[in-house]
Amino acid sequence: MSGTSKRLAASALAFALATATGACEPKPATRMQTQTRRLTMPTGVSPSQLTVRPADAVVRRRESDGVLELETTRPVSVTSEVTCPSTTEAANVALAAVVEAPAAMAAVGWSTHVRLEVKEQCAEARGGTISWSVIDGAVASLTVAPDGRAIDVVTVAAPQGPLPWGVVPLSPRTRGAARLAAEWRSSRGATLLRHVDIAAMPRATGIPSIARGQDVLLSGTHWTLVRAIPKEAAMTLSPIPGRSDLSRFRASTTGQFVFMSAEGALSIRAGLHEEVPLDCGRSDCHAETARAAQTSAMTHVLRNGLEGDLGPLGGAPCALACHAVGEPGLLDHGFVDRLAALGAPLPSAHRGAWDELPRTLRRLGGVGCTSCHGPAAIPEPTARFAVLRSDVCATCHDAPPRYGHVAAWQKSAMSHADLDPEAATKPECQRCHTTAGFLRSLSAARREDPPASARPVGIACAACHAPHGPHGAHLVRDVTLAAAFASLDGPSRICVPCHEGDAATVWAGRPNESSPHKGIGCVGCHMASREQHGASHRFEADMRQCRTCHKEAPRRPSTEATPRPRTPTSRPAHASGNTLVRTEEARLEAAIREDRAAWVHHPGLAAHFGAERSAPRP
Amino acid sequence: MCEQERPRQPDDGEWECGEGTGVTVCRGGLMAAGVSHGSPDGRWLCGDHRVEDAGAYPRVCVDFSPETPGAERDAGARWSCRYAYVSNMPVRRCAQSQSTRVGDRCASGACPPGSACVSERCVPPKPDVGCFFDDECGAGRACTFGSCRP
Repeated sequence: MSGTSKRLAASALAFALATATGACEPKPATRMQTQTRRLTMPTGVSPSQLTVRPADAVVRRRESDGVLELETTRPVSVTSEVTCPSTTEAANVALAAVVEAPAAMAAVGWSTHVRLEVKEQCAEARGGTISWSVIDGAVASLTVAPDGRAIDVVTVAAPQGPLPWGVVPLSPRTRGAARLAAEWRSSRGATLLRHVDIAAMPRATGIPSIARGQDVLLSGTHWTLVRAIPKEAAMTLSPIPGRSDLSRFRASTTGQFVFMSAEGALSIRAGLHEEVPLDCGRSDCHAETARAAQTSAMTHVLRNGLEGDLGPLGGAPCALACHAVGEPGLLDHGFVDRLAALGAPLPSAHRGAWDELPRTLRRLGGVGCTSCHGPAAIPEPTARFAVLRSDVCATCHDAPPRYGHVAAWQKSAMSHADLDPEAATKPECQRCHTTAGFLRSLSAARREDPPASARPVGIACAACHAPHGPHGAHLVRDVTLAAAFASLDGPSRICVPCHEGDAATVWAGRPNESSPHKGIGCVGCHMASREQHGASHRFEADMRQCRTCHKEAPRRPSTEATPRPRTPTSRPAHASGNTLVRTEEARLEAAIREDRAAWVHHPGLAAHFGAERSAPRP
Repeated sequence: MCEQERPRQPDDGEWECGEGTGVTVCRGGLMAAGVSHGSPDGRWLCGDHRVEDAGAYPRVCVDFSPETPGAERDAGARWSCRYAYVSNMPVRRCAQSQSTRVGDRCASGACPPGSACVSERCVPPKPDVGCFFDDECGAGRACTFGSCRP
């Protein structure tokens, strides 16, 4: 047997493409009879990895995303080292990879042992070796079986530290998730990569509106079920080994579950995404909100991906966890679940892909209402504050290193702006120290304050971003500013309502005395650092920006997250009880004295008022 | 009896549908919140819902030829379908039926209640277009061929 023949026998799909018999309408004598076959590639295998022999039998070879289309004049064989042999003569053939990984596991449990086995799809798989690695997240331990086909994994322990009472929010970073890679390598070096995603628990917003079948972690002690509505509603409540402060809850049916713990009562509602009516925009309800949501990039993110507007990965299956409703791996009637139930393939990115989806999938595609608000009824009034927590956005935006927004924000002073009880509860302080207070100051809308047990909530995402309110680029909330700032443009406007007493006032200066930094805006320095996706939300001034104009960068002002001591004497001037400033000049001077970076924001005014030079000076 | 989950609807918005005598009528049309809407389904004829207080049902759409189970296999079979709502989700239940429908020849059988045999066809009376659904007619009255009748 020649080397070429051996290769065919060992690894190839021997696949005869029969030529047409000529039984149909007679063709002109000069035209060759051909037949077309469509070969669908397994994930991670490119049509270019296939070899077609004899090559001169191929009249036309067209490769598109995941599909090889061949028009041939006589039977051909198609070979590949990473796919199983196939002898089908059907017009459409789905090729199988030599090995496949187990499906994603969304709720394995904390500190739990799980065995992951690679499934050999054909005998050819045994000719290769498999190596394992953890490419994202973390596991407590892993042991590879002697033959490499399986791996024993123990998931990380349940989160430690003070957790908010009730449903514990879990993000991609905190849900005990890990992505493992199994690389199959043939004896000749061809490789096939398969991924296995496991997680201790599904993501959770912290809002007590969850999906049926979604495990959630309850923080608190002595949880007991008081009432289920309807009475037949079923659930499981189980302890977390070694943790008296945590329990695991799962609603097996839709319904409402009222619990009591040593700390208080909690009502959790369970529903299914697809069953939620989307008539939120009724004229007597949230008409304005629904209208604004239609202009939100979050609403259209999956459509834009599938239509090819977000680049090659925009419509990739891995994006579905954050670009569509629901949690992959759960039977929550979310997008991925319904995609599987309907047996509908996710179309590859192309123009018109959106209209090819069934109606029900279009309604679940995109970051819809239930992604953030939950798939069940609106929570009790006492729990509604939870939608303002960063934990809601964290279900997608807390996945470093790709999405580091929440992790960066947690290191900023903004994340604990309401740590001081006085700042969190005094109406005049809430305006800039709590998200609910800030939003109340912008509109008359009612916003519930979080209970003390839930603090700090901080100035969270929803203060600056309006996913379904008037917004500009990056969903930054539109605000109306005082006359002195009204001409300012861009995303920095959102900083002004709170910082017009200090940095923003200094930065804007007097009407005829503009700061040299005015055109840069707050975000030009404080969000200049980039992350993989978007700007850093640590709000730390990036001193490297200064060097474009200044020889030497100013010293870094202290904006670390470490809370400053909160004693009456150490409070900043604006909180000392002596904030009454009668004239514009006095107001400016007070702002200069409070602004630790006055020399950067407006060197001219800082010099004029003799600001202390402990602040950085260029 | 065949059951169709997720039956066709005029578009990606909010609709409430009913079916009788071989015609599907949907009312609603409120844009679904937080959804990137696709193209409307071209088989529906739609217009404003002309009732006194359309409320959440500003539009009405009609499909004069709704799909039937096994349409290709059982060409000529007659089906009678009804809409039901289970957990907010529409389900269309169809059963084979021998009864005569509006538009059928009436020589062989009686016409559906409320219609009459005119020129060998079952024809409804001229409607006053006062209703589409029974609940638009008030207690004790039903919407029959576009008119509220006892």
